[in-house]
Amino acid sequence: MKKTLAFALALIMSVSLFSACGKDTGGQDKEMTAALTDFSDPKLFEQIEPVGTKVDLNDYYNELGVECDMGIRATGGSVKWLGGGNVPLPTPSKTYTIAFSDYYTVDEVGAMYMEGMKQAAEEIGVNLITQDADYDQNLQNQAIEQWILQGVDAVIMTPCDFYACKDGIEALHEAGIPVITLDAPPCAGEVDACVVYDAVEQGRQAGDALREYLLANGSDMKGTIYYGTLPFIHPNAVTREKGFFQAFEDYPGIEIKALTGESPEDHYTAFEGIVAGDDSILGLWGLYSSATYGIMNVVKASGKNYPITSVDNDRVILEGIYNGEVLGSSCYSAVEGSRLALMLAINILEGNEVPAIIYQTNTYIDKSNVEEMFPVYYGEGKTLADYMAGNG
Amino acid sequence: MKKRRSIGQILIDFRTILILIFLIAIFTYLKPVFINPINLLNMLKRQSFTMIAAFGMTFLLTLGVFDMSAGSTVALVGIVLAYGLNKGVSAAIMLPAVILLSILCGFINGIIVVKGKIPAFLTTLATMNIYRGLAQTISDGKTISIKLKWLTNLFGNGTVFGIPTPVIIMLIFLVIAAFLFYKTKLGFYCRCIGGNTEASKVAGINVNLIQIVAFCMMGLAAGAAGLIECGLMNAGMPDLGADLAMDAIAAAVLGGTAISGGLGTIWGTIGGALIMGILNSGLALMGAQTPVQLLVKGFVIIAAILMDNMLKSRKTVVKA
Amino acid sequence: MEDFVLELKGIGKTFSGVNVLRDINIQLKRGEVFALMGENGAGKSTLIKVISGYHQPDPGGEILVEGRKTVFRNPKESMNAHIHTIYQELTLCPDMTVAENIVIDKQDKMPGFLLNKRKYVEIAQKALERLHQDIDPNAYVRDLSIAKRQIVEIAKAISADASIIIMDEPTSSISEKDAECLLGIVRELRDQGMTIIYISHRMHEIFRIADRICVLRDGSHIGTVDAAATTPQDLIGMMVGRSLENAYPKAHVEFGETILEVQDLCSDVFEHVSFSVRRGEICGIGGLVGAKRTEVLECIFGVRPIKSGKIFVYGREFHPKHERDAIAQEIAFVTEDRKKNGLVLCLPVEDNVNIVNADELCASHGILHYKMFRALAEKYRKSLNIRLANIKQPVSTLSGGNMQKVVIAKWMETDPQIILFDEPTRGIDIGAKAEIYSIMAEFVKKGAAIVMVSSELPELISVTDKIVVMCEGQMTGVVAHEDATQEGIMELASSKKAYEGDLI
Repeated sequence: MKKTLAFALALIMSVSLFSACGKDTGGQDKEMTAALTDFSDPKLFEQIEPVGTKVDLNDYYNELGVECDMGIRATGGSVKWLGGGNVPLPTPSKTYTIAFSDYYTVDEVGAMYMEGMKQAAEEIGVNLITQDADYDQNLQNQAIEQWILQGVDAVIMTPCDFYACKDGIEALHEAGIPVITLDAPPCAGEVDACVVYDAVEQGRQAGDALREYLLANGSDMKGTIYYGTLPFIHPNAVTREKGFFQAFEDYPGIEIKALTGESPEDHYTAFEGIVAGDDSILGLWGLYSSATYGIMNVVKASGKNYPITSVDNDRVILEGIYNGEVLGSSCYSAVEGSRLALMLAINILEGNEVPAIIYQTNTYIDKSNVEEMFPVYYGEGKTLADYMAGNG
Repeated sequence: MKKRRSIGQILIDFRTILILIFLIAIFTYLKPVFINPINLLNMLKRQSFTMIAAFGMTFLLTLGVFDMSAGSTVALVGIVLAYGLNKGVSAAIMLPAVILLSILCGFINGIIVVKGKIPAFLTTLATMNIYRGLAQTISDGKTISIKLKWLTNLFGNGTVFGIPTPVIIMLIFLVIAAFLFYKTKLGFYCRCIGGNTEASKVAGINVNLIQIVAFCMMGLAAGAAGLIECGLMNAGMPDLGADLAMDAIAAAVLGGTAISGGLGTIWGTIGGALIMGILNSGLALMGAQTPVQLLVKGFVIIAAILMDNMLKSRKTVVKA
Repeated sequence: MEDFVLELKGIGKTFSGVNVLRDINIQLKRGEVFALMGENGAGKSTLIKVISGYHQPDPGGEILVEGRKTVFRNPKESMNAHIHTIYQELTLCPDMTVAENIVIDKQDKMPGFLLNKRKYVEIAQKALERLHQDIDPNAYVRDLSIAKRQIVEIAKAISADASIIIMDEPTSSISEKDAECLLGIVRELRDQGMTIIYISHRMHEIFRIADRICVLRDGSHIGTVDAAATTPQDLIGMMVGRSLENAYPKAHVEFGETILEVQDLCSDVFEHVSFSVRRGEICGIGGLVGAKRTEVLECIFGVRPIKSGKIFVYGREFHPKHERDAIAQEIAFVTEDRKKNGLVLCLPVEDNVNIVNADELCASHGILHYKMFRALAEKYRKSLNIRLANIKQPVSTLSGGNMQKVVIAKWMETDPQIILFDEPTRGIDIGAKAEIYSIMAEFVKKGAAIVMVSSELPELISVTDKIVVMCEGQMTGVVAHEDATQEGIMELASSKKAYEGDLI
């Protein structure tokens, strides 16, 4: 009797879980007139490489010592997105089913990619299927295999692993499904188009800001700058490092040293001793959000007042900027990235020529513009004040 | 002599098959593409390395021990392979070398458990960190891609008559594991030792040797799982296989292998791994996100252990 | 010269200075049932373990198998000499089949890597047929009853060509009917020329099957007699042997009102136990191992579920569901196995003393009041004369007697009115024993009541005011202090007749 009960319980449990998984909204095939994007509009885009050139990122990465062997099929050269604020979306001629695999949704960038994509898809009536790959390339590839079987029209992905994503991309290629990547590009496989950010510029913006601060405060420009980075070679890390080092090229008296970790806790541990014991510190830099978060907390706990700059626009960092704990951060908008990727997807599906690469804008955020820019990153109507009051 | 079994007992005895049928039916009803052979083969492909590891784990669990380091062995094997190939060492040398390496990983676990008399959980918890640390040291923490197309095809992406090679490798392991478990003294001794270590010692069974052999086999299974994961990823990755040991244990337990030792079943293990694979694939197809999948996986494991306990209580019901 | 299958010459065994066996000389003939008897702790188990290779005898002792001097370095060597032991704790693998279990210890005679299940079944079948038992060789052991499992063990032994089978209390946990069947098998094996060493406390069983009976007492061989030429009374005399000593001070206390009454108590393992205890009274529970005496205490303390019957405490009906219920009624339980459930061995003495009343000492704060802990521990160290270097030393470093005092101390602070003692002096030296008795006397002088389980007859007779005797889960008698004799109690302890007289 007990056993039968247990089985019934298991049955009910599983059925209720399945029903929690949500339902499909089948798209209606309504014919509409397509209104596509003009990538040559100088108000929206700055042409970097001309239309017709074969564009890839291999040289860019190989130069930095990152192995890269990727290709991009689109022929529209490369452009840089200029506009702040809302990315205008094209209108598709019918309801497309587009799948989006997000590398991770448990950090703010990943979460905003997902949220931005869902909102954008709803705006233009795209039937969106999503996946949180939980940093597991195996899961991402599994989802892609299933989407091929389900016959989606296009796939947008933020790769979990720069090399291991190759199989999924190639499988999509073979199935004739366009694939657009967002965030860091893959270093293997051939995609249709990419939305990327200029990570060298991000590092440079952070470096420039720190340098100018030091000069303005009469520093002798002799000492050490510590920065927090990942414990392994990551394409985003080497590019940002390159930009940051460029900012201090003219000051040989400054030594720039790396401390490594993955989580905020790791960075806290890594910086704790340095901040307490090293008097030669001029400033600190967080190469990505977790590093900055760890560094911010160490400095706060030590009671010292070192200048910190950062990359990434997580809300804790923006709050830190507002509170004066962080000088500023080089930011790009995940919401914008999602909209640009969807823009590319629709244009490809409608047969429009698209650029191979769209570079996102990096904006240096400091105390002067942090409130103004908050909604650009977190959506219309959201304010930093609300977030800080706990209503975010 | 034959007793009639109650419905409850029949349900328990065939629980794996029943759950499988139930899951396949419900997913097919909700998403017809689920039953598409390509989807099922893909599911098997993605589950193949967990299954292979679970075969090794079944031997260990039957013995009354388990191996937490299997996932780290996977990472180490993949990284060493990719690193060696990138340094220009021929695959003809690297392949046997990493297979030996995987067996060595298992052997080290076994020798520490047997000679050091440290419980398997602690030993493999330690070596889990050591093997993972080695993999990260060798690779500098980054992914190392493997360029040899034939190699990645052989272990990951290739197909033979439309069947993915990982599935074929898994089937080979299944046949070998089932043969060893059911038809040879190795499996017999594992069951004896897990069932009653003292009695086995008295009976003259070389308990230490069997434990070491089982750990070596686990190492080999992890090595094979590592080659498949490398093939699927076209790369050696230092963070590969993080969940492998737990998934393998879960698959074995789901299939009816007792975590307390003595009772094991290879057929059950393949069933348990199938349940996990079908849940994974089916839930992903339904658009369920990771949190939901984690929830379901957790509930399923609890349910499996509850059933395991019920089996046990059935055992002790018989009294003088 | 007679043909002995096994001869023990001058076997002694010393464990850390204590003589457990002294100069044992035994000869076993082919084809006899040789019963081994003695009180608990007489050295029977040690003797078996020497024969089966678990223990090596002290130098000077000799084991002769078939007239040849042999040394058993491990159990396997004993088995190779065709000696097979069936322990009370069966050693079968529950998740394997009968046939598989029967062939486990015969692997060296079965070369090859592959299993030959057909051959295994054949071997099992043959052995089971020899025993005339209808057990399916392919059945799983977990599905068999204890009695059937025992038969599988015997089949395992005879299929290994055993010439001597040692059976350690084979009938202690099976029903009368199954025991009957087992005795039949034993007789048949004997007729086939096998020698059986049979250990049992059941007097009637011994007389029905044994050819010779060997009695051990305090590690010495008292004598071996022909079963046909002896009586149960003789045997009991041999087993008990010693006269009463004065090492057992008896407190003389006025009895007060009845504070614990057990009426027709039944649980899963014992039935129909009734007794009552007054303030100032010490009630003993006597019987042999397996009489389920501890279980009665467990029921009173709420550890074991009660099937039927009633318990009255201070005149009110008491139905404990949990240990805490009993503690709330000021009942204390000094358990038999100090190391297992009496003490937390790795913790210091002071913590162990305060383990029961830590809640009260912490008052409402939930914070440990260490100063109080220490003070109390010091108090009991003095009053109970616990010999230790430091109250912070782990309990595991104390001697048995001092450990027992720590257990008692932990209960004393709760000021118990009913104290259950389970084998309070087991493994304790004579001096400490006397101290434990005087602590018990202190308790009753203060108006508490004691229920005490003991296997040591002299102690039981001297210390208690009355004795409830049990045998195999049955209450077989109540004896008043004045009427108690060792022989009388032994007889009740091995009789099967339920007590029908009045309670004292």
